[in-house]
This record gives sequence, structure tokens and C-alpha cells, in this order.
Amino acid sequence: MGAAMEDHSPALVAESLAVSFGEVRALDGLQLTARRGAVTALLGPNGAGKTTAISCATGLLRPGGGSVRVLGADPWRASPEHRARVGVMIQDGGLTSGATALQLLRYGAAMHAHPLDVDEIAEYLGITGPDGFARTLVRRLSGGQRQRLGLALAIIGRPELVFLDEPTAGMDPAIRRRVRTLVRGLARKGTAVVLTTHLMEDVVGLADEVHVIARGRTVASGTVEEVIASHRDRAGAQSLSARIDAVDPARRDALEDDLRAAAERHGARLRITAGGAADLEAVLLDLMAQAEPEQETTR
Amino acid sequence: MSTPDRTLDPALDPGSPVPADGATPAPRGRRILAHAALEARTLLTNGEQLMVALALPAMVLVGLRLLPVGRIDGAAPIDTAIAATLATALVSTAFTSQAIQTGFDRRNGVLRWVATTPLGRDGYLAGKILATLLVHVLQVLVLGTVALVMGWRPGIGGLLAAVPVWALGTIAFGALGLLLAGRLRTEGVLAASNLVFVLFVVAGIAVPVTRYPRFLGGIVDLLPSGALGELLRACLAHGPFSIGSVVVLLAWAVGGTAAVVRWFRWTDA
Repeated sequence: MGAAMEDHSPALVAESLAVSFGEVRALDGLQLTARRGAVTALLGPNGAGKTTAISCATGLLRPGGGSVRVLGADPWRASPEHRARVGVMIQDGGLTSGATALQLLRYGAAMHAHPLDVDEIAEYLGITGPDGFARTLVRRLSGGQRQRLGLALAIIGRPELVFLDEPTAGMDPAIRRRVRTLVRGLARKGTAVVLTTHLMEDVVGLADEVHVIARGRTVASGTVEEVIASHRDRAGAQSLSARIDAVDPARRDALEDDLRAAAERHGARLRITAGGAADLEAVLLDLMAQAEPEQETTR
Repeated sequence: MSTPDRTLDPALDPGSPVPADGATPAPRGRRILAHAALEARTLLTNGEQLMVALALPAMVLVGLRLLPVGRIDGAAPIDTAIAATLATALVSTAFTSQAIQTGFDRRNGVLRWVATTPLGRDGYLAGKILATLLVHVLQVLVLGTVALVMGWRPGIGGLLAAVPVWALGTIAFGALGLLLAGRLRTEGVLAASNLVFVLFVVAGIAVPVTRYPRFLGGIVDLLPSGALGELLRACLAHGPFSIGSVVVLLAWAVGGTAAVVRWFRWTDA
């Protein structure tokens, strides 16, 4: 592999990042890191500060405090050479409405010296092909089609670091799976991928690391398993996840009873879930609640 | 480390594109040309924009040739008509079209995204200016051809003298268009740019300053439209040349550019 794989420094480091919009503190001491060759997910409710953090990291916003380094440079003063190394898919499009999808893709490729093959990426993301929309004006595209085009534009220049703000919003399950495969492939080849999402199934199995953000602060970081395992609720209790396979349907109820009895014996409560995504979602919701100011939570 | 989903292995999906290291931008000139081509193509394939850029000035040309409006003593009607028409075309493209297109780009987040690409904000503006000039050239060719058919016989000296006026006018009206797009909401940009366009055409372009009562004429004299109209009539219709008009247009160009640098907002926030 090339230089990007050999460089072990983090692609993104944000320390004590602070941004205020008037009286509102959008970021309040945020800590973030993203490794090369890994998928890093930023999780949190609407208004938590995820998009503001990405805006700081892509040079769109100058932080009021703290620091952010992207591929070793200050993104606020980024040169065209730096910007060529960073791909960005912003929330809500950012696409010229009067051009067709293919025109815009070729335009995006023309900004880079060694872009991906336009036909290849267009075919991969279904922009061309039987259900393609290559010759459709951007303003007539559906939300999911715009997302695919935005994603293609973000990676067309073969970036070392790519920011994807809710990349799979509005996509059907088949395309979402393809996008997940693409993201995993990018990381495997050395790209640092930073994404935001509200879909836990986009995180479990895809993200190597997650940062949970609430009210402009990082409230939990680590792998999905670490975040779930290290989480303590308000009473200080922890959760323990297990997966039991090869359950005989005829003995399922008896097994559940045994497990419940065992949990009770140890003073714990048993909750049977559908899997990792549900576990992560439960932790996330609890973290959000804990991040609320005291007077709001006790109301 | 979390456990990656094995079914997401790209080896199972050979179509997955692979990024390469050492991403570098295309040369600056190529980036700007690509943006200019996209802007020009977008403008020329949009029916409403074409209407404003070509059909409307053509109607002004025919109207002013046939109606006793905007004429000056001693000048052929086709000469005053083409001077007013080229000024109308300039304002329609540099001001109205530019304001509307940039306003929508701002609302749609295009300006945000562009700022993260190798093109950057300065490349975006450079491409925009180049696209405007390309469309201007097309306008001059089309409208000039129509005027030739209608009997226009321009002198080479007048045409050459009109070039710096044309360039100065493009800067002044382009800056005003960007200022509108960078300050108002999109709906406001749409309404204001069309309304102000009509005012500009009436105030000094189609109707010369001399046709206004003294008080109103004094105001029109200070507008960029009044200055542009007077200067193009001086170049193309043997109208009186006034250094005051040069100063006024120059002041709008410099002031407008400074205002854009100071007050243009790249986002809707």
C-alpha cells in the first residue's frame, strides 16, 4: 500500500473543540480522533453537534476554542492540495440543481488529477444502469439518488479522509448495503472514514470506533462493544450482552426462565434484545438522557 | 476493535472501487474551466435563463428600433437600439441571472460543498466570472447578428471603445448580483433581481438620462445603469461622452466588489 497506510498518525484529531452560535453552545469541549484505515462513527441526537464538528474539520467553520487537525493541517487554512486529500459529503445535498447527475460527476472528477473512473463509480452506485438516473437533472432526483451522487462526489478524488454526513439517509436497503460495502472497502484500503448516522445498523459491524456526542461533548468513545460494555446507567449498573445460538424452539421458554432466574439470583434484570444494534441504541438513548441538564431530567 | 460484518468484505463485491494514495488536485486552470463550463451549460440549457439572456434583449432591440423610445438627436435609431440592447443583455446576465443562480446555489448548500473541494471559493468565483463572459460573448454575437440584419453598421473604433465599458459594467453589475445573492433569502433574490432589472433597464438604459426631468435625471445619472447606458451610447451611437459616467460606473464596480468581499454570506445560516 502507499503512504496513507504507512502513516500511523490519526487522520483527524479534535481537542477541546468549542463553537458558539450566539448564546447557544454547539460544541463544548468536544474530543475526537479518527484513524486511517478505520470507520469512525459520530452518534448523537439531532443538534448534538455532529454536523458542526464536521464543519470545523472541513474548514467551513472556524472554532471559537480548542483545536482541530486534519491530516496534520489546520482545515481553516486548507490549500487546494489539502482539500484534494479530503472528501466531503455534506448533509442536504450541496449539489448544483441545474446539471444532470453525470455532468456533475464528471465535473467533480475534473477537480482531481487522478480521480476514480467515473463510469465505474457511477455503475457501482447505480447512477448508470437499468434503474440509473445519470441524465436526470439533480433537482428532479429523489433523496436517496442525491445521497448516492453526493457519496460518489465525496470519493471521486480518492481521498485519504472522507467525511460522510448521514450517507445512507433515504436509501433503500439494497443500495444501503452496497454503500456499507463501499465504506468498508474504503477503510480496508487505508482511507479514514468519518460518518454520522442515526441508524444503529449502519454502525454495528461497520464502524471500528464510535464517538457518542451529546450537547456538544463527547460522552462515550471506543468500539461498539466497548461503549456498550463500559456503559453504566444512572444507578451505576452495567449491562452484559450475550448471544445464545442453536436454541431448540421447543426449549426456548424454559431457557428464558432459567436465564431470568439466574439474573434474579445475582440481582440483575434480564432483557432479551434482537442484537447489537438494539443494544447500542439502548445505550445511546440512556447516554442522551444522562447528558440532559439535571432540572430537565428530574422534571 | 468491533467485529466487522463479514458480508461487507469488498472481496465479495468485486465492483467496489478502490481509492489510491496521493490524492492531488487538477491544475487550477482546469478546475476553473470545468466550473465555468458547468455554469455556462447550466445557464444556456435553462429555458428561463435563456429567456432573460437572449429573448428579452432581442425584444428590447426590436422594440427600440420600431418605437420612438430612447433615441438621441443625430443618431440612427438602430444605433441607439443596439447600445441599449447590449446594456440590457449585460445586466440580464451579470446581474439577474448571476443573482438567481448564486442565490439557489447558496440555498442548496452548493457554496458550502464547493468550499470543501479543490475548486474552493475563489475558484468558484473565477469560474463564474468566466462563464458570465462566455455568455456575454454569445449574447453579443446573437444580438449583433440580429442588429446587422436590421441595418446596423458599426464602426470598428466604437466597438473597441465599448470593450472596456463592457468589462467595467460586467464587474459592477456582477458584484451587485452577488451582493443580492449573498444577503437575501432565495425568494427575495428572485423577486428583487427581476424588479431591479426592470428598473435598471428603464433608468438610463432604454430611456436616456436626457429624457428624464432634471431632478430624476440627476438620480439616474448616479445609477450604474445610467452610466452604462450613457457610455455605450457614446461608443456605439455617437452620443455625448461624459467622464462623470466613467467615474460613476467605476465607483459602483469598486464599491460593489468591496461590499461583496465584506458582506457576502456563503451559507444560509
